[in-house]
Amino acid sequence: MAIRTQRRGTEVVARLSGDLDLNTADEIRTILDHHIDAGCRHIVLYLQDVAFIDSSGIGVILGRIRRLREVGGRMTIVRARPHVRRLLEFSGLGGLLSFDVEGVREREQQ
Amino acid sequence: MNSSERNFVDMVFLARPENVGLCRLAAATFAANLAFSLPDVEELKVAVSEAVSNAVIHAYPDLPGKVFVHFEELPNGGMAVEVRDDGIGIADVEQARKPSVTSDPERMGLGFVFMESFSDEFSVESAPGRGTRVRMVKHPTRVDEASGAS
Repeated sequence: MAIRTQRRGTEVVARLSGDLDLNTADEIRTILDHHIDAGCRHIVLYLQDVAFIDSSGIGVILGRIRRLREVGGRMTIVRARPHVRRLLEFSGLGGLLSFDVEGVREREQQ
Repeated sequence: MNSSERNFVDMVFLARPENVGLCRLAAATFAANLAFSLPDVEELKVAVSEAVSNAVIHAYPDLPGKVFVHFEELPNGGMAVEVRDDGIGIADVEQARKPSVTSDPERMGLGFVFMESFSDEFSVESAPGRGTRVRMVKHPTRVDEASGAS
């Protein structure tokens, strides 16, 4: 698992790659929490290179959504592979997340 | 080699997070040689990952311990998976299977939900101090008729 983050004001773009499971969850949680503690209010999570996710990975995402909401922030999930997205939706995260593909593309082009 | 003999694999490893991915990969490789579709294999990987993660997180809170995993080919091209530990066990299995019940709030208690959802048969045996045994059976969504014809 690798994570690359890029901060722009209160927005952090995080690109994950590899497997998001029990073995990698702590590292991702620590890095994202660090950004939230430092004032980040919008995390854009690029998941196109995440090949696998299970409940440990979903827990990291849900936990960060909760933390962001507590401070009036939000998370956007971008380009999750179909089986990863299916699991996110299956776990009830669908209602909490915005799967914002076009919006991010538009922003990248600006 | 007798090709009519059904394949199986037994693995024993230390209950550590870095072994979850190893076991998942082994399950996917085993399943890929059976009659499973790619989405089936993805579901199996999640189910196996959850069972092994549960053992790693919960079974041995104080001492290092082992996880025992058994994969077995079924006559219909399906696969049976058993994940066992000799750990502290679960006092109330029915309670533990409910989504809201968890000792790790971030995992949302989804482990058992995924194991049940992504397998066709699912059972848990556990008692305090006597370890936990999870057994899952998955049948292929589409059996390749040609492979069984000759």
